[in-house]
Amino acid sequence: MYSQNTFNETMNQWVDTQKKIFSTWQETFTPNHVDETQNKTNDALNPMEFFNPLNKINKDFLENNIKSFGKSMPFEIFHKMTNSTDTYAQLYNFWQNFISNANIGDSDLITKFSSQWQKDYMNIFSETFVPFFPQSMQDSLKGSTDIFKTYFNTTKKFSFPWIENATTFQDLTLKGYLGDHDALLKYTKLFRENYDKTFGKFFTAPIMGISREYFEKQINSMDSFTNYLNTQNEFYATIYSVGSETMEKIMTNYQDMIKNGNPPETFKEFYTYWWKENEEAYKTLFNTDDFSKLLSQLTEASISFKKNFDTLLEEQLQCLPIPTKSDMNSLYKTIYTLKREVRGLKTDIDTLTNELNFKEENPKVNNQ
Amino acid sequence: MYGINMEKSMNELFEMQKKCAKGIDVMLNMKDAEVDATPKELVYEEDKMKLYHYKPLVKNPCKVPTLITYALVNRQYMMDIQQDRSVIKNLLELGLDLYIIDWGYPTAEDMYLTMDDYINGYMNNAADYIMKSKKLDKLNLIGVCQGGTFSTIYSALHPEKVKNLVTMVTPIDFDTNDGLLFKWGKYLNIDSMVDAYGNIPGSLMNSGYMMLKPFQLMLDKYIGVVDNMDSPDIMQNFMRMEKWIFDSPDQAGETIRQFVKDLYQENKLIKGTLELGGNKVDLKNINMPLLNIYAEHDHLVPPSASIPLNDLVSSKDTKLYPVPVGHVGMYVSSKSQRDVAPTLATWIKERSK
Repeated sequence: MYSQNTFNETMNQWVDTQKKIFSTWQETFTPNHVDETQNKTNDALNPMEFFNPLNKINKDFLENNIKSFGKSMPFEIFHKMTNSTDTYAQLYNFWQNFISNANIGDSDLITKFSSQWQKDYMNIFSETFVPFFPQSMQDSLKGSTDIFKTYFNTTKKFSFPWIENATTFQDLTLKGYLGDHDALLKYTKLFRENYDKTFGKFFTAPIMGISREYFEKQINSMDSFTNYLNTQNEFYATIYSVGSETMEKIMTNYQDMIKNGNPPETFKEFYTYWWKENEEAYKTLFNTDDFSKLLSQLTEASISFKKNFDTLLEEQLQCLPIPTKSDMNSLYKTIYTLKREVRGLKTDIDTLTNELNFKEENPKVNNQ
Repeated sequence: MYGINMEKSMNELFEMQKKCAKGIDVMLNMKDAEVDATPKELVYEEDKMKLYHYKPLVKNPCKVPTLITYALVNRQYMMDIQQDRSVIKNLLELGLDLYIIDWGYPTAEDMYLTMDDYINGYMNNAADYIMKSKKLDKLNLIGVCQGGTFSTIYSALHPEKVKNLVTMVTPIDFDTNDGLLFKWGKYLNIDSMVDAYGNIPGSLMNSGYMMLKPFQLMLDKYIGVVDNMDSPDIMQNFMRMEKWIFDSPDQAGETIRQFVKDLYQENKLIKGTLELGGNKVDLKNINMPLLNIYAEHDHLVPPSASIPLNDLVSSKDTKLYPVPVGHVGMYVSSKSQRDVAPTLATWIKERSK
């Protein structure tokens, strides 16, 4: 049940939204006096500027009203809807900016715009999908988008081989940000090479002393984590690459559509065109053997890290008076084996009972 | 300007605004999405498996009872998702006597359950219970998706107990690249996953399913819902489906290990090398009538994975039934209610006399 206060809050937001719609309407259709001395364009005549506040109102309205729901099914749906409308709004901004530039005919401006958007587009992608994954996976996925920063900060702490390659790393980072599809992959590979030459050696070096076994587990865990991050980076570089390429294709096609006089008539039509192009591009990517292998590598790397980390945790928990997962698994195995045995014995008893009953009911058959 | 139709765009935006406003009221007054509503009775249970018997909806239902076996992935109430689109209700009204297996939600203690436990254990015990209570020596089987694979294997191992076999959207030939799951499954190191997790989390499986159509399932679905926000009925149905999609039990480790390795990766069912409980599964043992229903637009179980079954069995009475829908559409589409359920019920009744 929702309280009266919640209801009132919803109604107030509703009234407020209506006011906003009215003022947007007024601002749009009231003649807008232009200060010609400052050579300003008349914003009221720009259809993009006209749609912007309306779109924002829709989004705010939806977002504000989410708060009226508890953690219920409608809340979950609304939450996913706002996440989707965020993407919708970001795509809208892209559309708006593109429209503003597309008609200019200045190739430099288009290139500049394209570079900027390639950079921003990564954010759209990461923000689009992460909220839909299970909570347990979100942190690690979000982490992957910060890998550039992580790697860059990590490189600062490394000694010679890292300093030697620092310029290359910076170069590749910059290129990656500016949309060079191969730069991120090169970065990942170079990182791995340097890692193997430096920290990798440290992690695989033999360890001595009383705590040798424990340290080995710690080191395995750290090593597998680095490997996991590395593979995750390569995975998302591939994902983002396709997103970026598709965006370029969409921009080119859209320019052609404008030139040919048959562009999408509304933002919704553009949005539909956009997501269908992307869906198709990802379908093609996902169908390749290389992607299947990469997906498998990513799974393997994450599992390897989980295993090593679990082992380490269990080691630490051993001194506490609680059973570990391995202890429980052993118990489950025993129970399972016993259950199977009981089930088998029950079947044997049933068969024997049936045979006995049959013999008792058919003594003649029995004697033959 | 720029080819934009102002009037159309305006209408679109205001329409969206209006629907959002009405939608708030709809969502505030929405009750919990009711699913699985057709009356039924719990008649047998073993560990987490439950066997339900649906109350017949006709005076003289089909004399041979029918056992429905659903996949371990997701929940069986897809077949009874809403009363006006319930395959179960439809089949009952058409005169079938229905039982259904609810596999439940496996927990850590179930991680060692194998395909043998599910098929020769739970499924066989459920079938024996039904036959004993009806004083019959045979029953009909309807297997859905992975449940269809299980029903096929069961029919091959216990042909003497199966009167008729119906498979729906069932993977049999896993050596296909038509579906992404089949492609990805071949490279998956399932040993590692099961060793690390024990049971494979349902949420992890769901993430994989959503990756099959990322933009449609993770984005457009929630944008598109705005178009229907002002309709209580449509929103209620959306909620039901949403509830079902994310109601994903974990997968018992040893079972999914065998399913992926023996079937997805080695295609043993087709090769005749699959073993269960020490016995080889020979599809030629399937000699009862077979109705193989598949969805033409299925992205989870492509037709190429289902169709070969009819040529691999020894049954003389076999029928392939393509339906122009997707995997889930097989159960919730109007086409399914209008055509699939009547065809299925008639086919079973004609062979259950």
